[in-house]
Amino acid sequence: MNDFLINLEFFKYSIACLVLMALVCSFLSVYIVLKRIVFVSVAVTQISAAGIAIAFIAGLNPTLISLLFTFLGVAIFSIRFTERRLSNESRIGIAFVVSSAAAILLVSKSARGIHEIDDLLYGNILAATPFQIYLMIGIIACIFIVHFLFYKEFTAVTLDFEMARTSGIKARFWELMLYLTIGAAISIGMRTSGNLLITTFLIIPAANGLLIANRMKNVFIIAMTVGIISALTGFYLSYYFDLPTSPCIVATLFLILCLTLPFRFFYRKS
Amino acid sequence: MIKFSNVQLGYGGRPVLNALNFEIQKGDFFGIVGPNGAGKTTLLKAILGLLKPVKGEISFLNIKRGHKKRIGYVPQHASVDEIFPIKVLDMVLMGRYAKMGILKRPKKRDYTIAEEMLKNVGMEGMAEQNYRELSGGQKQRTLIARAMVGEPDTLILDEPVEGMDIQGEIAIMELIKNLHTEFTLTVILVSHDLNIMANYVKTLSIIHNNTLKLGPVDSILNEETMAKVYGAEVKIINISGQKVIISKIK
Repeated sequence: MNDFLINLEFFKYSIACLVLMALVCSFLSVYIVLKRIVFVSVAVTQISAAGIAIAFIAGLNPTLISLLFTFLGVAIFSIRFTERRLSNESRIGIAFVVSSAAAILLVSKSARGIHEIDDLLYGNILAATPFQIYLMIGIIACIFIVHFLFYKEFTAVTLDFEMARTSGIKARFWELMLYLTIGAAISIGMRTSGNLLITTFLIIPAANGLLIANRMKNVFIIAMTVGIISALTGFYLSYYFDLPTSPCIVATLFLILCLTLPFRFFYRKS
Repeated sequence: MIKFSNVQLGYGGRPVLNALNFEIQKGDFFGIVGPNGAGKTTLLKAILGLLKPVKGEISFLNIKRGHKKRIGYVPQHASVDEIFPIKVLDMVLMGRYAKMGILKRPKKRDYTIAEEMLKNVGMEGMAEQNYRELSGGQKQRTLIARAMVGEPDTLILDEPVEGMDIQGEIAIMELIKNLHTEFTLTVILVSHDLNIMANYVKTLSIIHNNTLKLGPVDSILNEETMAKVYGAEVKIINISGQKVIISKIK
């Protein structure tokens, strides 16, 4: 522990980046799980990775290109097709596998090859720079402000899209806005946190919240708390045992989820 | 009044309903029935504005200039996701979100209207309960209250008594009937339950051969039409002024 505290100065940007990603993704995970769009978030994360791969090849800004790809992806997923022969799941699945393959093919010819694929999957948290942190703070603040101001609209389109539409809420617009905030959160953390960690942050914290709480506000609080605690614990464990950071955080999140299940069981019994 | 003028409805170029020319009068209690897959939900979606007609026009008459159509929609209670952690009062308040406008939070008046409506639908004292812990009948009442707090002039219900026992069915239908009278509502109801339709609606429409046949219940609900539409022999009997439809077993 002493050793870790001595090196804290060196890790400060990495820790800040993890905490910020845990905070925003855990918050958004509540909408993702409630709206049952887990696979949309998985596919969008992969599309974002493909965007970064293209940026590698073309020598462009990875965050900007990833953001563009992600927005394009969420815009397509937010369209409700009336074609009945192909389900939405199939479209999402196709987008996921095609963007995964595209990302691998694109970086396989790069000089760094396998290391870049590793970076896409697991991120490179030590690569976090002060500029990235400030950019993240700015974008995350915007996401939270939008969600605070339009909480009514986001919850209505999440709970009952058709009711929202018939009651006069511009449901398609607010659904697109919700997807765009999810896309923005994915893009800003992709280079540092990686595909695996972002996908996990977008699913497991909400599962914890929903298992314990009966009110939206409490679900958000539990999800964000679990996300941040897991990020910090996982980071420390990865340092202590000299293991990759993302899988350590995922394992911590899963462990907390496993501990939540018996709590839920006793809570229900009481 | 809702007017269908030569409307064709369908998905992806495939027509489901053709040549729809009819009017739903203000204050009517309008029922839509038909066999499975006939297009009941398609018609409902078109009235709700969720599905654009392939051809023709659906117009809402008698709406003042600059005003929006005031529709209260009650989906099947099973379609509202139970994983959502929300209390009954908040679920009902959601029906006023559009009225409040963006950037506005529910005010005291909104809470009063929601609580009053919960009383009207027989859910007094249940405002703080979790929606997901309610029975099917209570969920239906909550969704009716949610639709009503938007102060609609037309209430549209999709299979409101689906999955309920006889007592529950009657309680919900009596509630809808009372709201229809008390708030001078136009009620549009989709149900596959012919007994419910026979005894509650004023105008009945039956979907058959991709189009709609409608009229007063007594003129539409007869053994000949039922045999044509459902391909089954039915007997309609009257018990103390109440119509009962029984299908004959071959």
